[in-house]
Amino acid sequence: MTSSLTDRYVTATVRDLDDEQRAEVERELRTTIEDMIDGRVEGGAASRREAERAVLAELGDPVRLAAGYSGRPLYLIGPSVYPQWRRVMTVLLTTLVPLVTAVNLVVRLFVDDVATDGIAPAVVAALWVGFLVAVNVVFWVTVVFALAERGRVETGAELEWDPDQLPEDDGAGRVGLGETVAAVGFLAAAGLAIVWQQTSSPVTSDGEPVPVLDPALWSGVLPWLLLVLAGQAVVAVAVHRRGRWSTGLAVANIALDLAFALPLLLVLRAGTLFNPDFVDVLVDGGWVDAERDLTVSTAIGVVVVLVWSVVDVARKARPTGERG
Amino acid sequence: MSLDDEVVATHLQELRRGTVVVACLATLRTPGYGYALLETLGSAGFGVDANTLYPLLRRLEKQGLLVSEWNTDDSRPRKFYRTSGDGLELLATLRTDWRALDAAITDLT
Repeated sequence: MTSSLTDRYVTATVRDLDDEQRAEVERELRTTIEDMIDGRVEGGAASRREAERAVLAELGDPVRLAAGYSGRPLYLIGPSVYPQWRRVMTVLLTTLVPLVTAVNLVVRLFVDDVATDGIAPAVVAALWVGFLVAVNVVFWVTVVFALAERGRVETGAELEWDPDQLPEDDGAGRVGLGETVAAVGFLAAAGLAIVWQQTSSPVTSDGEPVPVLDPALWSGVLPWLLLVLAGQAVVAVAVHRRGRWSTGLAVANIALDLAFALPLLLVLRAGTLFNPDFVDVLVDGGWVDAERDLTVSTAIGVVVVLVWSVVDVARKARPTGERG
Repeated sequence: MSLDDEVVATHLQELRRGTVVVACLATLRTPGYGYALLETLGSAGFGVDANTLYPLLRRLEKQGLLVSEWNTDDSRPRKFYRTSGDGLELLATLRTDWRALDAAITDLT
Protein backbone atom coordinates (compact mmCIF):
# COMPACT_ATOMS: atom_id res chain seq x y z
CA MET A 1 0.00 0.00 0.00
CA THR A 2 1.54 3.25 -1.07
CA SER A 3 1.36 5.89 1.62
CA SER A 4 -0.81 8.79 0.63
CA LEU A 5 -0.15 12.42 1.35
CA THR A 6 -2.78 12.24 4.07
CA ASP A 7 -1.02 9.35 5.80
CA ARG A 8 2.25 11.22 5.74
CA TYR A 9 0.61 14.41 6.98
CA VAL A 10 -1.19 12.73 9.86
CA THR A 11 1.94 10.83 10.88
CA ALA A 12 3.98 14.03 10.84
CA THR A 13 1.42 15.81 12.99
CA VAL A 14 0.81 13.20 15.67
CA ARG A 15 4.49 12.39 16.05
CA ASP A 16 4.90 15.40 18.34
CA LEU A 17 1.92 14.58 20.51
CA ASP A 18 1.63 12.73 23.80
CA ASP A 19 0.50 9.11 23.72
CA GLU A 20 -2.90 9.87 25.22
CA GLN A 21 -3.66 12.50 22.62
CA ARG A 22 -2.17 10.69 19.68
CA ALA A 23 -4.75 8.04 18.83
CA GLU A 24 -7.73 10.36 19.20
CA VAL A 25 -6.22 13.22 17.24
CA GLU A 26 -5.16 10.86 14.48
CA ARG A 27 -8.66 9.48 14.14
CA GLU A 28 -10.30 12.87 14.19
CA LEU A 29 -7.79 14.46 11.87
CA ARG A 30 -8.17 11.75 9.23
CA THR A 31 -11.94 12.09 9.21
CA THR A 32 -11.70 15.87 9.05
CA ILE A 33 -9.28 15.76 6.14
CA GLU A 34 -11.57 13.38 4.30
CA ASP A 35 -14.53 15.67 4.93
CA MET A 36 -12.60 18.67 3.72
CA ILE A 37 -11.55 16.82 0.57
CA ASP A 38 -15.16 15.86 -0.08
CA GLY A 39 -16.12 19.49 0.33
CA ARG A 40 -13.59 20.59 -2.24
CA VAL A 41 -14.52 17.87 -4.69
CA GLU A 42 -18.18 18.88 -4.46
CA GLY A 43 -17.08 22.48 -4.84
CA GLY A 44 -15.48 21.60 -8.15
CA ALA A 45 -11.91 20.46 -7.60
CA ALA A 46 -10.15 18.91 -10.59
CA SER A 47 -9.47 15.56 -8.92
CA ARG A 48 -9.35 13.96 -5.52
CA ARG A 49 -5.59 14.19 -5.49
CA GLU A 50 -5.74 17.90 -6.23
CA ALA A 51 -8.31 18.38 -3.49
CA GLU A 52 -6.16 16.39 -1.05
CA ARG A 53 -3.14 18.50 -1.82
CA ALA A 54 -5.11 21.73 -1.43
CA VAL A 55 -6.62 20.63 1.88
CA LEU A 56 -3.25 19.71 3.36
CA ALA A 57 -1.80 22.99 2.17
CA GLU A 58 -4.68 24.77 3.89
CA LEU A 59 -4.04 22.92 7.14
CA GLY A 60 -0.44 24.03 6.99
CA ASP A 61 2.80 22.94 8.62
CA PRO A 62 2.22 19.75 10.71
CA VAL A 63 4.60 21.05 13.36
CA ARG A 64 2.47 24.15 13.75
CA LEU A 65 -0.75 22.14 13.86
CA ALA A 66 0.71 19.77 16.45
CA ALA A 67 1.77 22.74 18.58
CA GLY A 68 -1.82 23.96 18.46
CA TYR A 69 -2.96 20.59 19.80
CA SER A 70 -0.27 20.16 22.43
CA GLY A 71 -0.08 23.78 23.54
CA ARG A 72 3.70 23.76 23.36
CA PRO A 73 5.36 27.06 22.36
CA LEU A 74 6.70 27.51 18.83
CA TYR A 75 9.93 29.13 20.05
CA LEU A 76 12.99 28.26 22.10
CA ILE A 77 13.24 31.45 24.08
CA GLY A 78 10.08 33.43 24.48
CA PRO A 79 9.32 37.05 25.32
CA SER A 80 9.10 36.50 29.05
CA VAL A 81 12.57 34.98 29.35
CA TYR A 82 14.32 36.86 26.54
CA PRO A 83 15.43 39.98 28.47
CA GLN A 84 17.26 37.91 31.07
CA TRP A 85 18.81 35.77 28.36
CA ARG A 86 20.09 38.82 26.59
CA ARG A 87 21.53 40.32 29.75
CA VAL A 88 23.40 37.15 30.72
CA MET A 89 24.67 36.69 27.18
CA THR A 90 25.96 40.26 26.93
CA VAL A 91 27.76 40.14 30.26
CA LEU A 92 29.43 36.82 29.59
CA LEU A 93 30.45 37.62 26.03
CA THR A 94 31.91 41.02 26.84
CA THR A 95 33.93 39.73 29.77
CA LEU A 96 34.95 36.17 28.92
CA VAL A 97 35.80 36.46 25.24
CA PRO A 98 38.26 39.39 25.40
CA LEU A 99 39.80 37.97 28.55
CA VAL A 100 40.38 34.49 27.17
CA THR A 101 41.62 35.83 23.85
CA ALA A 102 44.10 38.18 25.51
CA VAL A 103 45.43 35.58 27.92
CA ASN A 104 45.77 33.03 25.17
CA LEU A 105 47.61 35.49 22.97
CA VAL A 106 50.08 36.40 25.68
CA VAL A 107 50.82 32.82 26.57
CA ARG A 108 51.34 31.90 22.95
CA LEU A 109 53.64 34.84 22.35
CA PHE A 110 55.89 33.65 25.10
CA VAL A 111 55.66 29.95 24.46
CA ASP A 112 55.72 29.80 20.67
CA ASP A 113 58.83 30.53 18.69
CA VAL A 114 58.02 34.04 17.58
CA ALA A 115 61.40 34.54 15.97
CA THR A 116 60.85 31.94 13.29
CA ASP A 117 57.06 31.91 12.87
CA GLY A 118 56.18 35.52 13.46
CA ILE A 119 53.23 36.62 15.58
CA ALA A 120 50.59 35.76 12.97
CA PRO A 121 50.06 32.13 14.04
CA ALA A 122 49.78 33.18 17.68
CA VAL A 123 47.24 35.88 16.85
CA VAL A 124 45.19 33.58 14.65
CA ALA A 125 45.22 30.83 17.26
CA ALA A 126 44.20 33.26 20.01
CA LEU A 127 41.35 34.64 17.88
CA TRP A 128 40.19 31.10 17.14
CA VAL A 129 40.10 30.27 20.84
CA GLY A 130 38.16 33.48 21.47
CA PHE A 131 35.69 32.44 18.78
CA LEU A 132 35.27 28.98 20.30
CA VAL A 133 34.65 30.49 23.73
CA ALA A 134 32.03 32.81 22.24
CA VAL A 135 30.29 29.90 20.51
CA ASN A 136 30.27 27.88 23.71
CA VAL A 137 28.89 30.78 25.74
CA VAL A 138 26.09 31.36 23.23
CA PHE A 139 25.26 27.65 23.10
CA TRP A 140 25.20 26.88 26.80
CA VAL A 141 23.40 30.07 27.83
CA THR A 142 20.76 29.42 25.17
CA VAL A 143 20.34 25.80 26.25
CA VAL A 144 19.88 26.77 29.88
CA PHE A 145 17.35 29.45 29.02
CA ALA A 146 15.49 27.19 26.57
CA LEU A 147 15.07 24.70 29.41
CA ALA A 148 13.94 27.51 31.68
CA GLU A 149 11.37 28.54 29.06
CA ARG A 150 10.02 24.98 28.89
CA GLY A 151 9.93 24.87 32.66
CA ARG A 152 8.07 28.13 32.74
CA VAL A 153 5.44 26.82 30.32
CA GLU A 154 5.00 23.66 32.38
CA THR A 155 4.82 25.29 35.79
CA GLY A 156 3.52 28.71 34.85
CA ALA A 157 6.20 30.43 36.95
CA GLU A 158 7.42 33.79 35.68
CA LEU A 159 10.82 35.45 35.95
CA GLU A 160 10.14 38.52 38.03
CA TRP A 161 11.84 41.80 37.38
CA ASP A 162 11.97 44.48 40.00
CA PRO A 163 13.65 47.89 40.00
CA ASP A 164 16.51 46.57 42.15
CA GLN A 165 17.82 44.83 39.06
CA LEU A 166 18.47 48.10 37.26
CA PRO A 167 22.12 48.66 36.35
CA GLU A 168 23.99 51.25 38.41
CA ASP A 169 24.58 53.53 35.46
CA ASP A 170 22.11 56.39 35.76
CA GLY A 171 23.13 57.92 32.47
CA ALA A 172 24.79 60.89 34.11
CA GLY A 173 28.06 59.04 34.61
CA ARG A 174 28.76 60.98 37.73
CA VAL A 175 32.12 60.16 39.31
CA GLY A 176 31.93 60.42 43.06
CA LEU A 177 34.55 61.08 45.68
CA GLY A 178 34.72 57.44 46.66
CA GLU A 179 35.57 56.34 43.15
CA THR A 180 38.26 59.01 42.78
CA VAL A 181 39.85 58.22 46.12
CA ALA A 182 39.94 54.55 45.21
CA ALA A 183 41.57 55.30 41.85
CA VAL A 184 44.22 57.61 43.28
CA GLY A 185 44.81 55.25 46.16
CA PHE A 186 45.36 52.35 43.81
CA LEU A 187 47.83 54.36 41.72
CA ALA A 188 49.69 55.47 44.82
CA ALA A 189 49.88 51.90 46.04
CA ALA A 190 51.27 50.77 42.69
CA GLY A 191 53.91 53.51 42.78
CA LEU A 192 54.83 52.70 46.34
CA ALA A 193 55.08 49.02 45.52
CA ILE A 194 57.62 49.78 42.84
CA VAL A 195 59.71 51.81 45.24
CA TRP A 196 59.26 49.47 48.16
CA GLN A 197 60.35 46.35 46.33
CA GLN A 198 63.71 48.03 45.83
CA THR A 199 64.31 49.21 49.34
CA SER A 200 62.74 46.51 51.45
CA SER A 201 61.69 43.53 49.42
CA PRO A 202 60.24 40.61 51.38
CA VAL A 203 62.54 38.15 49.65
CA THR A 204 65.88 37.89 51.36
CA SER A 205 69.18 36.22 50.69
CA ASP A 206 71.71 36.06 53.52
CA GLY A 207 69.58 38.52 55.45
CA GLU A 208 69.84 41.16 52.73
CA PRO A 209 66.63 42.17 50.94
CA VAL A 210 66.72 41.20 47.27
CA PRO A 211 64.84 43.58 44.96
CA VAL A 212 62.28 41.85 42.74
CA LEU A 213 62.89 44.04 39.72
CA ASP A 214 66.26 44.52 38.15
CA PRO A 215 67.89 47.56 39.84
CA ALA A 216 69.41 48.54 36.51
CA LEU A 217 65.92 49.51 35.42
CA TRP A 218 66.05 52.50 37.72
CA SER A 219 67.93 54.33 35.02
CA GLY A 220 65.34 53.39 32.43
CA VAL A 221 61.81 52.11 32.66
CA LEU A 222 60.99 52.44 36.36
CA PRO A 223 61.08 56.23 36.68
CA TRP A 224 58.98 56.38 33.51
CA LEU A 225 56.40 54.05 35.08
CA LEU A 226 56.23 56.21 38.19
CA LEU A 227 55.73 59.27 36.00
CA VAL A 228 52.88 57.56 34.13
CA LEU A 229 51.22 56.59 37.40
CA ALA A 230 51.46 60.20 38.55
CA GLY A 231 49.90 61.25 35.25
CA GLN A 232 46.98 58.89 35.79
CA ALA A 233 46.47 60.30 39.27
CA VAL A 234 46.24 63.76 37.73
CA VAL A 235 43.65 62.49 35.26
CA ALA A 236 41.64 60.92 38.08
CA VAL A 237 41.55 64.22 39.95
CA ALA A 238 40.60 66.09 36.78
CA VAL A 239 37.72 63.66 36.23
CA HIS A 240 36.55 64.24 39.77
CA ARG A 241 36.64 68.02 39.40
CA ARG A 242 34.76 67.84 36.12
CA GLY A 243 32.19 65.44 37.59
CA ARG A 244 32.33 62.82 34.88
CA TRP A 245 34.59 61.35 32.22
CA SER A 246 34.99 63.21 28.94
CA THR A 247 36.24 61.84 25.67
CA GLY A 248 39.47 63.81 26.04
CA LEU A 249 40.16 62.54 29.54
CA ALA A 250 39.30 59.00 28.50
CA VAL A 251 41.74 59.18 25.61
CA ALA A 252 44.41 60.58 27.93
CA ASN A 253 43.85 57.77 30.39
CA ILE A 254 43.97 55.10 27.69
CA ALA A 255 47.17 56.63 26.31
CA LEU A 256 48.69 56.52 29.79
CA ASP A 257 47.53 52.92 30.21
CA LEU A 258 49.36 52.01 27.03
CA ALA A 259 52.39 54.09 28.06
CA PHE A 260 52.51 51.98 31.19
CA ALA A 261 51.84 48.57 29.70
CA LEU A 262 53.88 48.65 26.50
CA PRO A 263 57.31 49.49 27.94
CA LEU A 264 56.64 47.00 30.70
CA LEU A 265 55.80 44.28 28.20
CA LEU A 266 58.86 45.14 26.10
CA VAL A 267 61.12 44.85 29.11
CA LEU A 268 59.43 41.57 30.01
CA ARG A 269 59.97 40.28 26.50
CA ALA A 270 63.63 41.21 26.61
CA GLY A 271 63.89 39.29 29.86
CA THR A 272 65.34 42.22 31.78
CA LEU A 273 62.47 42.96 34.14
CA PHE A 274 63.29 40.69 37.00
CA ASN A 275 66.40 40.97 39.11
CA PRO A 276 68.67 37.99 38.31
CA ASP A 277 69.52 37.68 42.00
CA PHE A 278 65.82 37.46 42.79
CA VAL A 279 65.29 34.71 40.24
CA ASP A 280 68.31 32.85 41.60
CA VAL A 281 66.79 32.89 45.07
CA LEU A 282 63.57 31.41 43.73
CA VAL A 283 65.34 28.76 41.68
CA ASP A 284 67.49 27.81 44.66
CA GLY A 285 64.31 27.53 46.68
CA GLY A 286 63.03 24.89 44.28
CA TRP A 287 61.03 26.87 41.71
CA VAL A 288 62.96 25.68 38.67
CA ASP A 289 61.01 27.52 35.98
CA ALA A 290 60.75 30.70 38.00
CA GLU A 291 61.93 33.02 35.25
CA ARG A 292 59.52 31.77 32.66
CA ASP A 293 56.54 31.40 35.00
CA LEU A 294 56.99 34.88 36.42
CA THR A 295 57.36 36.38 32.96
CA VAL A 296 54.24 34.74 31.59
CA SER A 297 52.06 35.46 34.59
CA THR A 298 53.20 39.08 34.83
CA ALA A 299 52.52 39.56 31.14
CA ILE A 300 49.06 38.08 31.51
CA GLY A 301 48.40 40.33 34.48
CA VAL A 302 49.52 43.43 32.60
CA VAL A 303 47.39 42.61 29.55
CA VAL A 304 44.31 41.76 31.62
CA VAL A 305 44.53 44.97 33.64
CA LEU A 306 45.14 46.97 30.47
CA VAL A 307 42.14 45.53 28.65
CA TRP A 308 39.88 45.90 31.65
CA SER A 309 41.01 49.49 32.27
CA VAL A 310 40.51 50.52 28.65
CA VAL A 311 37.05 48.92 28.43
CA ASP A 312 36.01 50.41 31.77
CA VAL A 313 37.03 53.96 30.86
CA ALA A 314 35.61 53.69 27.35
CA ARG A 315 32.29 52.62 28.82
CA LYS A 316 32.25 55.46 31.35
CA ALA A 317 33.07 58.09 28.76
CA ARG A 318 30.22 57.02 26.49
CA PRO A 319 28.21 60.08 25.51
CA THR A 320 24.81 60.17 27.22
CA GLY A 321 21.67 62.24 26.84
CA GLU A 322 20.83 65.53 28.45
CA ARG A 323 21.70 64.53 31.99
CA GLY A 324 25.09 65.26 33.62
CA MET B 1 -6.82 58.24 0.80
CA SER B 2 -7.97 54.74 1.70
CA LEU B 3 -6.78 52.59 4.55
CA ASP B 4 -4.20 49.95 3.82
CA ASP B 5 -6.14 46.70 3.29
CA GLU B 6 -3.72 44.75 5.39
CA VAL B 7 -4.07 47.10 8.34
CA VAL B 8 -7.84 46.78 8.17
CA ALA B 9 -7.61 43.01 7.87
CA THR B 10 -5.33 42.75 10.93
CA HIS B 11 -7.65 44.75 13.14
CA LEU B 12 -10.73 42.89 11.92
CA GLN B 13 -8.94 39.65 12.72
CA GLU B 14 -8.21 40.90 16.24
CA LEU B 15 -11.85 41.71 16.73
CA ARG B 16 -12.96 38.30 15.43
CA ARG B 17 -10.39 36.42 17.51
CA GLY B 18 -12.29 37.00 20.70
CA THR B 19 -15.63 35.96 19.28
CA VAL B 20 -14.79 32.52 17.89
CA VAL B 21 -15.18 30.85 21.29
CA VAL B 22 -18.61 32.39 21.81
CA ALA B 23 -19.62 31.32 18.30
CA CYS B 24 -18.47 27.74 18.96
CA LEU B 25 -20.20 27.45 22.32
CA ALA B 26 -23.40 28.87 20.84
CA THR B 27 -23.38 26.68 17.73
CA LEU B 28 -22.55 23.51 19.62
CA ARG B 29 -25.64 23.69 21.77
CA THR B 30 -26.66 21.36 19.00
CA PRO B 31 -24.06 18.57 18.75
CA GLY B 32 -21.77 18.94 15.78
CA TYR B 33 -18.49 17.69 14.41
CA GLY B 34 -15.36 19.46 13.20
CA TYR B 35 -15.93 19.98 9.53
CA ALA B 36 -19.64 20.75 9.78
CA LEU B 37 -18.88 23.38 12.41
CA LEU B 38 -16.26 24.88 10.14
CA GLU B 39 -18.85 25.25 7.37
CA THR B 40 -21.52 26.63 9.70
CA LEU B 41 -19.19 29.23 11.16
CA GLY B 42 -17.95 30.11 7.70
CA SER B 43 -21.41 30.78 6.31
CA ALA B 44 -22.39 32.67 9.48
CA GLY B 45 -19.56 35.08 8.86
CA PHE B 46 -17.05 33.69 11.38
CA GLY B 47 -14.39 32.61 8.96
CA VAL B 48 -12.00 30.48 10.98
CA ASP B 49 -8.98 28.58 9.71
CA ALA B 50 -9.29 24.82 9.98
CA ASN B 51 -5.91 24.60 11.74
CA THR B 52 -7.17 27.06 14.37
CA LEU B 53 -10.60 25.53 14.92
CA TYR B 54 -9.72 21.89 15.54
CA PRO B 55 -7.09 22.52 18.21
CA LEU B 56 -9.48 25.07 19.73
CA LEU B 57 -12.22 22.45 20.05
CA ARG B 58 -9.82 20.13 21.88
CA ARG B 59 -8.76 22.97 24.19
CA LEU B 60 -12.36 23.81 25.03
CA GLU B 61 -13.02 20.14 25.69
CA LYS B 62 -9.98 20.00 27.96
CA GLN B 63 -11.32 23.02 29.85
CA GLY B 64 -14.63 21.20 30.36
CA LEU B 65 -16.63 23.59 28.21
CA LEU B 66 -17.41 20.95 25.59
CA VAL B 67 -18.12 17.25 25.88
CA SER B 68 -17.45 14.85 23.06
CA GLU B 69 -18.46 11.41 21.95
CA TRP B 70 -17.52 9.28 19.02
CA ASN B 71 -20.22 8.49 16.52
CA THR B 72 -19.61 5.41 14.37
CA ASP B 73 -22.88 5.46 12.43
CA ASP B 74 -21.31 6.64 9.19
CA SER B 75 -18.52 4.87 7.36
CA ARG B 76 -16.22 7.44 8.90
CA PRO B 77 -16.05 7.64 12.70
CA ARG B 78 -16.82 11.20 13.73
CA LYS B 79 -16.19 13.00 16.98
CA PHE B 80 -19.25 14.99 17.98
CA TYR B 81 -18.86 17.96 20.32
CA ARG B 82 -21.59 19.42 22.46
CA THR B 83 -21.60 22.40 24.80
CA SER B 84 -21.47 21.20 28.40
CA GLY B 85 -23.25 22.66 31.40
CA ASP B 86 -20.15 24.70 32.26
CA GLY B 87 -19.96 25.73 28.64
CA LEU B 88 -23.54 27.01 28.68
CA GLU B 89 -22.79 28.96 31.84
CA LEU B 90 -19.74 30.52 30.26
CA LEU B 91 -21.71 31.28 27.12
CA ALA B 92 -24.26 33.23 29.16
CA THR B 93 -21.48 35.13 30.95
CA LEU B 94 -19.73 35.96 27.70
CA ARG B 95 -22.94 37.14 26.06
CA THR B 96 -23.78 39.39 29.00
CA ASP B 97 -20.29 40.83 28.78
CA TRP B 98 -20.72 41.25 25.06
CA ARG B 99 -23.90 43.27 25.49
CA ALA B 100 -22.24 45.40 28.15
CA LEU B 101 -19.32 46.08 25.82
CA ASP B 102 -21.67 46.95 23.02
CA ALA B 103 -23.52 49.43 25.23
CA ALA B 104 -20.24 50.95 26.44
CA ILE B 105 -18.94 51.38 22.91
CA THR B 106 -22.23 52.90 21.80
CA ASP B 107 -21.87 55.40 24.62
CA LEU B 108 -18.30 56.18 23.61
CA THR B 109 -19.09 56.61 19.95
